[in-house]
Amino acid sequence: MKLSLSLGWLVVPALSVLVLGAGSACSDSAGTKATASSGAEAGADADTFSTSEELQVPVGAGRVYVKLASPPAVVSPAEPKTDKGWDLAFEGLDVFTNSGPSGAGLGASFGPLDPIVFIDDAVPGTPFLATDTTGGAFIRWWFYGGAAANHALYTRFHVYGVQEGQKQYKVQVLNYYGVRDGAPIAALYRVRWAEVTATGSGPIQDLADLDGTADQANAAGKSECLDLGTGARMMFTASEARASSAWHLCFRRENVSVNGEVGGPRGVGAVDLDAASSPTEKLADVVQLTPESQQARFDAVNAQSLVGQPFRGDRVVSGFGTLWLERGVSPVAPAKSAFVVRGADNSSMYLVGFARFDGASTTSPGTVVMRVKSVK
Amino acid sequence: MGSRGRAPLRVPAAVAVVVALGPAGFVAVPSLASAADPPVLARAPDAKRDKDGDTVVVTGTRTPERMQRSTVKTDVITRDEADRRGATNVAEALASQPGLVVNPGSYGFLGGVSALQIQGFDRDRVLVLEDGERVVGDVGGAIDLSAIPTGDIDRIEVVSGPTSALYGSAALGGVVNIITAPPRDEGPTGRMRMEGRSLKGLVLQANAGYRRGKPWAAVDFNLTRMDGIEKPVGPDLRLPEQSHRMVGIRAGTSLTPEMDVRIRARQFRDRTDGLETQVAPGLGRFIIDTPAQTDRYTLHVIHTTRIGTQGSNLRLSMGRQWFDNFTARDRRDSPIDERHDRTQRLQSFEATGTIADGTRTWVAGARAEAEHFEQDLTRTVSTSAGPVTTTAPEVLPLSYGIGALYGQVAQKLGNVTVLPGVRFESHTRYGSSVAPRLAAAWRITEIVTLRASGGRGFRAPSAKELGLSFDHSAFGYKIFGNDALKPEKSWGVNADVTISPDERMTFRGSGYANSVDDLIDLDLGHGKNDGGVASYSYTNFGRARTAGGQVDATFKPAPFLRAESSYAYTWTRDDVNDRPLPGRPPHAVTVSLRVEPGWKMELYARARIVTDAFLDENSRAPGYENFDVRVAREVWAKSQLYVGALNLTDVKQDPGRVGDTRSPLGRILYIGLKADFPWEDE
Repeated sequence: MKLSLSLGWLVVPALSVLVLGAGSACSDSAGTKATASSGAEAGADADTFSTSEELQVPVGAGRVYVKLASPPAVVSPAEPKTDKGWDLAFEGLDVFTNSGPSGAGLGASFGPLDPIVFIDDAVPGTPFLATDTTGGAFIRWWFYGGAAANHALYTRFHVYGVQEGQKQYKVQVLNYYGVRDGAPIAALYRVRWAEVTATGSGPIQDLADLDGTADQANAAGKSECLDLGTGARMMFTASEARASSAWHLCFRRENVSVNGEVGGPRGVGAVDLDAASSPTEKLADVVQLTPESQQARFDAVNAQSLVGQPFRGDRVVSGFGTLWLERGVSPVAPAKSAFVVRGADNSSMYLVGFARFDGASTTSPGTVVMRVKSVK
Repeated sequence: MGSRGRAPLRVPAAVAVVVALGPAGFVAVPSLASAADPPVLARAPDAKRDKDGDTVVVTGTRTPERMQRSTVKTDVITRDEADRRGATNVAEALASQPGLVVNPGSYGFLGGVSALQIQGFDRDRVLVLEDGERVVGDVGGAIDLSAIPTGDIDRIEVVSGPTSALYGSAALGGVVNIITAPPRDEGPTGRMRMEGRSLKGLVLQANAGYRRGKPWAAVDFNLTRMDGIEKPVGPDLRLPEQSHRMVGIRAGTSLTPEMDVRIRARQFRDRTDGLETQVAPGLGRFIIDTPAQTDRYTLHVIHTTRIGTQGSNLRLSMGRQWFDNFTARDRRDSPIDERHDRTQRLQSFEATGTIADGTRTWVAGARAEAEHFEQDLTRTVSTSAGPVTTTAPEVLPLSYGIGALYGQVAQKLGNVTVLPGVRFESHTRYGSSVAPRLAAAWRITEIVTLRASGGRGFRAPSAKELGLSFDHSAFGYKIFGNDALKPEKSWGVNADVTISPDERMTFRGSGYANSVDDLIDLDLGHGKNDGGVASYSYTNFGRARTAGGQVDATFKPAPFLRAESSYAYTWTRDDVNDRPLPGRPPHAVTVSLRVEPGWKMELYARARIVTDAFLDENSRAPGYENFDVRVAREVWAKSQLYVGALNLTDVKQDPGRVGDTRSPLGRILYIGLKADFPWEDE
């Protein structure tokens, strides 16, 4: 009687990484630009946080764990991977919840929201809560159509730069769907790519039906991986892929992995060259895009486009992503925003905001001065 | 409709004596009646009423009582009244009944399932009976009342409040008993209804009976169909094409002067054919047919032995029901399909003794049930090696048995009737439940009757809640049934006062309060994480309360005019989340007017206003107003030609709006002819 089961409701967490794309859009409404200087109340107005509790988190080398239940505190779990006694973790410029690859709990998060939500004692309405997952530069490659679009994923047709040593490629996802056995099948990718050279580009290769249909949870399920240099295709389980140097990109459901950092040993990095356009993209516009109309965008990428780009492999990401940080300031400073956090116990709910960073640098927030409020 | 042929009937309250048709005419005989076996009273279609129009009811106490003086408040919708409401099925007959809310298509099954709310309880917290036998075959916990035609019914009785003391599981909010009756006239008789409706709707109802003294037999047939309704942007259907078919036979006779036997068999087929399309980015549109079909068969044999001459009897009944259902998604030109098959079987045996002992009437009974349920999912998926078809249980096959003992005694103390009762039920899965009830009726004066009752209700865990196995690992979760579930249990009290100053008017006020514990639901707060996949299970953790009241007034200022009005208030609270239960409209007003202006005409109008209802902190189900009209004229004796409109103002659901309980159909116009045979006036 309390909870009518809606499958659609539960589908949402699986699509939760959308928060990273959607969240960027939300951040535009989060308020005025914060002061970047360390020690200032850069995050939000003190009055807004008046009903919350303060917690100072010294973020140094290694991961720092925090419990949010009152009184919030820094904790030291003996086995962080299995311990449900922590709700958030900080490492460098990343924030993690106790969920997915980060922990055994059922934590999740959503944001950024306007800090005004701290005034209320209730959980603000959110479309979903995102659990932690792995991903890299391709994490925002799709646009979720929602129920109105039959929950379809539309490619944004962003062009991605991929780098391995001196080799560089450009990649564009053309479709998440393919036809097999007379039915549209999700996770049958179509991509095109080309090597980027100092004098231009190599031949454009267009490949369809790359099989990423294996479920994330199916450890024995094999999905297709691709070597951009040779065009070789191979099927790997998730663990086989993480141990293999035979590929550049792997396709598994909506995730496109890069063979670098936690993604694999090959040292591949990638970057979304159109990341800046994500916050302003709208579904109505995205659905109009076609491989043909976006050919020019692909063709326009050259060696110069890749110079100075922050190539990265796969990492663990949460709903915080980089959205808790003010854009384009140095040293880093907190965004003036709030986040909803579900505790590791799957039932406690909190509002979290970041007042200021003490002793921040370009790679570390120093001591994070945060505000925590338990909400119903 | 006139009152010709009615026989005066005076039935003392709470005394189990009815008037039955015997070879020599109307004679008083000991009661044969029970909730499953309505009394035979007189010749005419409305003969179960006395001259005051008071109806005999059986569901509230398992003994026949006049409705106005019954120990437990019981509402009745006769077949004639259902016809006036333009109903072709039970859902439509109850849709505007005061105190009830029918949510058409609110449970996500192609817009077809119509389920009932009583006192804020819904789905499998309301018990639906056919002639006293539990109906099996729910979809999402809801018995689809739109799949039960009115073609062969005599009346529908509704008892509000916990009634598990008599009927066991699911009777938390109340009981709906759909009752048929044998032919009342000697010789061949018949009844037919032909109707055309909007959306190429067709209604064919026919009944043929024959009675020769005690032996009688009847054949029933019902067919209704309507087109589907396209979405604003087709070809997707917002509502599927529907057809409902029922064929039944009923027969009865006397084996000896003391023994009667009755047999009833029915076959139902309900079919919906939906269509939806899937637009895959970059690939175009794909068409998916979404058929669903239910085949339900019922067989019941009832044997009654009269004991003595004071109204005592022993009733034995045996029943079996078969329910087979599938829902499918069938892609055109592709083997990538899926189909859910559900199978349910119920066998029952019940013995009920009624002992009339002066001012006391004892009822004692025993019931045994054996039930089996299973649900499979057959899915063909596309793999790189070609299509692969698998079949796996969605609900693990479950077989269980129920044994129950129950008893009650109606003690008449002057103008007061006191009715204590209790039921003990043992279930092979979850153990036992005890459900007591105490009811009382006080006829304060000739015009004022006060009734009160209090009791326990319970709901056994459903097969799905016990054995569901739903794997959506791809989306990060699984849902499992829980074999350790306990029944939901409620306490409820009801009271009402009826004032009938004279034959022309009746006023009634009633109130109720219920508290239910151990509600079964998915516990999303205590999932388990295993490799990134969250597992959730059903548990007993919910608590809720409901309360409300209703005032009704009936006026018959002239023989040709009858007006009814009602206001119902419902308050609910989800004590776990500290908010109202979703989808319970707090206010409802119903008004109806029936006029027989002469020229053999009958005019009927009915309006219902329902306020908006809480859904969640951010949304509400919209309120609505429905206005129905019907004009009928007698063409020849016992016949009517009629035209009407349901939902004249065309209020309808917003496609895709969750929790919208307005009509999915919109305005329905109809024209038809109905007739009873023999045609000759008496």
